[in-house]
Amino acid sequence: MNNNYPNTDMLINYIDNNLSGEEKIKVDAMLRNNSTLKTEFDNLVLAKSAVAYYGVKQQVKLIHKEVMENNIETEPIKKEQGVVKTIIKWSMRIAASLLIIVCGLGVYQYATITPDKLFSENYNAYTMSVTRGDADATALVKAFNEKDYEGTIKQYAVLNDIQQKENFIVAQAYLVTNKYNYAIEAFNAVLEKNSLSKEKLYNDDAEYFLAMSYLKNNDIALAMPIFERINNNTNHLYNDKVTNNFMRKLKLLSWKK
Amino acid sequence: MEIVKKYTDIELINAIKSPHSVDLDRAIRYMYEAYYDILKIYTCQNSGSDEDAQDIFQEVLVSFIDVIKKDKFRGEASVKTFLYTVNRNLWLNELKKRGRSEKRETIFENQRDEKVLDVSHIMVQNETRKEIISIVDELGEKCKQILLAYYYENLSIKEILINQQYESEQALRNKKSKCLKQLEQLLTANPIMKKTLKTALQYE
Repeated sequence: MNNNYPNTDMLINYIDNNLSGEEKIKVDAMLRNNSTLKTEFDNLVLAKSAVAYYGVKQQVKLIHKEVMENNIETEPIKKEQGVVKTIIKWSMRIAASLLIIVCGLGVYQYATITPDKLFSENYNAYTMSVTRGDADATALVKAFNEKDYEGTIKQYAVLNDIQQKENFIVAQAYLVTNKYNYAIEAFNAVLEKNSLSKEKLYNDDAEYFLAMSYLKNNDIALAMPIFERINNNTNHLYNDKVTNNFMRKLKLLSWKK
Repeated sequence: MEIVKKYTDIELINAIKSPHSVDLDRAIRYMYEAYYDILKIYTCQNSGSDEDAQDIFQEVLVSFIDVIKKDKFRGEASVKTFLYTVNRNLWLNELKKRGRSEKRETIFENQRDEKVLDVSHIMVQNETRKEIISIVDELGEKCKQILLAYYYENLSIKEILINQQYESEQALRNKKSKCLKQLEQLLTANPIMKKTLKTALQYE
């Protein structure tokens, strides 16, 4: 024990909020003027934090165990229910036939799939609605909706206030005009601005088209985790576009690389 | 089996912050129901086993709850995105440690984390986490029970006394102080470790 040990109870009472207003003021003053006491106080707060951390760990561990045990218990029951030998036998035969067909299709897909093909099978050009607002921004939207993509890029270049919307539109224009690296940069700018802002604009759209840009640019490794995230998130705007079949084709592409 | 209550992000955060252990209990169960399978897919698709996915998910939840309880959650992304990012970072750290991470993937992941969501402030190193647990484990069982009951379950001395063999509230209070002091000394015995623990526990 150190020399300040007689003060420990006082510090613990302070931490536990067991002191009167007057006593608290007194301890506050002591902590300001006595660095050794302040160090002991900080260490006790650290110890309290360690207890809290330990508590969370223990509680999660207990529930984890329970959840996992329940999962293990239910799985074999499901497997055993409705098991009829003949059905299994026929199922196995059908499964074997299906496997041959699936493997054949797999080989065919593997041989024919390309990033361009997968992109064109799934890409639909984005259209914007014209909204009121800043005149330059409206001109940008108009140029985009008139499919004047070079004009859109020029309009973007003269804008002063560039927000998520402007970045998103120009990214679409870059994508249509095959300037994939610029498109990637602009979609990333939308996501970056969103991450710093409470207002998440075009977030799902930007994620999807960013991944599509990576795909078109033949950067499958970069496209993969984004598409995986969209595929796993049923609330994502583009979840129905990034189907399991799409993911299978994407995996084939990644193996071909 | 207990029906798991569904939460919005705000409700979930409030449940975690609640002083009642039962609210946190429900919140943890909900997170298992809502997010475990999704996060498991990520770990398993990136060279992890089922067991790895379970371990990482537990770490994710502990980090998330700790961050919420300390009011360090910035709310710049949804809970789902946040958990996913922490899960990914924890798993990539683990892969790096095991020397199995593909360079390309790591570079990409680092870039994504900088741009999309920065969770570095909560990425307590695994070794430090284990160190905290093992230091608290060095306390006797009695001390752990008392400190957890008081500082984690927020029970009063009177409530704790019901389950403990102490003559009086004062005797129990003295024991609690002694235990906290003992833990403080264990945690600060090594000055370098103390600094690491401080960073890890207080996100400084």
